[in-house]
Amino acid sequence: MSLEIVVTPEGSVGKRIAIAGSLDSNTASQLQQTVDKEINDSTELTVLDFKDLDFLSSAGLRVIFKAKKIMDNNGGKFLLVNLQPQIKKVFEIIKALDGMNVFRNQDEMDEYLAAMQNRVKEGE
Amino acid sequence: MRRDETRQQLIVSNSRQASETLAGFLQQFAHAHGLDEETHHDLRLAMEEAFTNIVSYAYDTQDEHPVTIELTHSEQRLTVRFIDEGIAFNPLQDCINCMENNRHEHGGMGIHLIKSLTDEQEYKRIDDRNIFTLIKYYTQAKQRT
Repeated sequence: MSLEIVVTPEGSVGKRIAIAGSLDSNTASQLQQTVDKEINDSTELTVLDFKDLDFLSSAGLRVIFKAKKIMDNNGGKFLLVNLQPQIKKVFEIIKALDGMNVFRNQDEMDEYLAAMQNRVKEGE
Repeated sequence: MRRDETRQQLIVSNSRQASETLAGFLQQFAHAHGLDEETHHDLRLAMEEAFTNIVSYAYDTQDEHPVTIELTHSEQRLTVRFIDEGIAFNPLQDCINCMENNRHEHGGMGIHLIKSLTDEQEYKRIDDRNIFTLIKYYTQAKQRT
């Protein structure tokens, strides 16, 4: 099983990393390379899109947690969206959904981002 | 082997790439026995984690070594057995307190997943071989009882 990664801009300040296929011990290094290249101290927003991800193992989870750590350390936002039930189950077993920003779908995430924007505009 | 059991065996080398062969082996087995998607996925992940453990810890050298995987189906349960001739390694012991410190970037997640996705786990060291067995009770069989 292979992993496909597509990186696109997310608004003006962020990156969307869409992953498809299988994120496992054979493919985790591919995502790690993408994270190393795309996420740095000045990244304000990273969206990890799981829409077409069918399989996730602990090797893949480790890369995701490392990416989250980078975003937490630089005060940026790290959002997960479109988790299929079997992927969500893996996160639930590891009890890793606490402290993660997870959105069921794009609409839910857009609402959150719009609310964030408004708060910034209002200067809160 | 009991009369109502069917068993299939696969021998692969201890390389990460072989996990794909393993997934294909399970898929055929799952199809032949009509496993539901969730049971299939749970087993696939548990097998991937157990196999990754063997690839990572069983041998000190880079040489290729065989790993035997047995899948057994009976009316009540599915059994996955991993057999390797590597150094003694009990993955279950490795898991004591594995998730307590919540440091997800470190080890322990794999065995925690295995324990959560299967109903029974057993490690034995017999004749210089590691034998790691996972049992998952098959939901449809459970409903019939």
